Amino acid sequence: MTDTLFFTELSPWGLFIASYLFLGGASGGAFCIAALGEFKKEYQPLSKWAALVSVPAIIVGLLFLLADLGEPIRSINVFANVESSVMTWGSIIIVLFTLVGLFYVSFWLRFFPWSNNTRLRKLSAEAGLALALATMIYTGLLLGVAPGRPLWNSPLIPVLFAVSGLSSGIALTAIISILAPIKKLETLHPIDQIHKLDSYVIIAEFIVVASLLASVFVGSFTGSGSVTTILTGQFSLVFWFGLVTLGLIFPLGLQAYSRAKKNNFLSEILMSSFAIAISGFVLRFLIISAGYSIPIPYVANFFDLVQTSSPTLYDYVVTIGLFALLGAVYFGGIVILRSENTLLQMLRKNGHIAIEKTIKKIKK
Amino acid sequence: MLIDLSRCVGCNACTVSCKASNATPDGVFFTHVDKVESGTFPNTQVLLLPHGCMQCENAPCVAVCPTHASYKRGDGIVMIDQTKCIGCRYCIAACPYGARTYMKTINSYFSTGSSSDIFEQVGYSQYTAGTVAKCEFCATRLDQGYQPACVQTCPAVARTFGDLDDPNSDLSQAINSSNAVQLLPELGTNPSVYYILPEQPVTLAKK
Repeated sequence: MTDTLFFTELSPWGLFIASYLFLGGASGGAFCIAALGEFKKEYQPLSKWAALVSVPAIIVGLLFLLADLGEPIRSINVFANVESSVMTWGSIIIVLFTLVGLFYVSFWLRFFPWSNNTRLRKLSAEAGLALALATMIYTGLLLGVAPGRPLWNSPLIPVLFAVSGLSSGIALTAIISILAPIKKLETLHPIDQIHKLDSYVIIAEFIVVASLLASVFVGSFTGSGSVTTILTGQFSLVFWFGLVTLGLIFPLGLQAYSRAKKNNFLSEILMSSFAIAISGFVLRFLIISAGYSIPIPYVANFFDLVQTSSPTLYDYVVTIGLFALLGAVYFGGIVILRSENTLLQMLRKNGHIAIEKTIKKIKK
Repeated sequence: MLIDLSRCVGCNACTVSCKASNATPDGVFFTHVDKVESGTFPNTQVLLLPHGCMQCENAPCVAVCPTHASYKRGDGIVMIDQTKCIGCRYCIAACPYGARTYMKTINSYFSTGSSSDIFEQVGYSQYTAGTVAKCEFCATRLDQGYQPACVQTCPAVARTFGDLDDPNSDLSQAINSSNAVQLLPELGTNPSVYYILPEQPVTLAKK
């Protein structure tokens, strides 16, 4: 094997696409929880909040996509290549998912003529679920078909992104459900349940990550280069702290701590979910960036044409701005869908809400 | 195209003539010469690798383009329709050879903002900012009966251009009579650019 210089080219996709893929996956994952609430009564209180997470997320994701395009005015062209382009398929799926998601949310807003039709609501949840799964897989398939990037060109990438989307969606749903005002403490138990589910999902996610890294490492010389940059190279800090610590060790550690104390604390769920959501974003950004920094047989341009690959100020401003917009939409949605007796007020009074004790008190 | 690496001296005349002929903006190079180092000191070797677009038979950039802006024309050259490109850069992500450039802004070499140079004003008008461009084997020159600019300019006569589909053409005979290879053949892209490796034992890194 020849030694070649490791060369980081300017990746074509950066913060905007990473944000778009993260929001696409999280939106799909959140909608899965909303659909779960339609089929299992104990999760029903969460359906409203999961839908509130899902729909603005996918819309802001589309805004990120438009911000990223070189010529957004022509974006209607994106539907042209139905024969072979994953991006065309994904655009169709996401548009349909957004429309069905909006329709599903309209049931919870109560001032539409069809708002009380539970059968129709369940049907739209089913349709939305199928589209949500398609969206989650699409975010991975987009990268999966690129032939020259071994870290992307693995069949494990769509699996990884789907699982990651589910975990991020659960985390965001837990956060919004806790911060949202609720009439009774009816959401307390399902939030606890989906948080426990999330800990299994993140373990599954890390099994997939480990399999991906292992298979790419042994698969090719270029692949071993990509994986080395993640494990010990320039992306190692991002990987070990942003992904492994925030996404696996910290949440599971908190879980173990509260199990040892024999109660789950609401503040623990909140902190874990934030960490999991952040690590979901970090995963997308990491796969995109590391997948592009591969040693290819030809390196180091004679004229040193390497441009800097760090994001510009404009990139940071727009990314933060769009996420702030999403936060504002969530806040507005909470206000519209509100009731009294916020869990947040309880949190302020007593951060350690012993969940089982409280549920027992309610049942009495 | 056939590029004989045992003849290439790394002068970059091809890079410059391509730029002059296609009027590419600042920072955009359709063809360039890469240096590949191999071995550890003191047993190092340098390989000079000129390349533009490989004009692949199974071009991944054409398959992934959502707008059909990337298309393969009848004679096999992969072209970009600048009016359809939306600048999504999926083609750049898909190309294993790094052949394409995203022109986020079109910059002048001589001044910031719009250029007062007549060559730049005329030449850059064929490009739209926010789209992707690449080597098209000088398609307009070919239609007029000329060779691509890089082929005509090379002082070492390292580049040969011709019809790959015609087994009797100079190009096909040259490829068959030498040990010409494609780059990254295991990816299944079937590039149309072949390379004759130099006599020193240099192995290109496999995928």
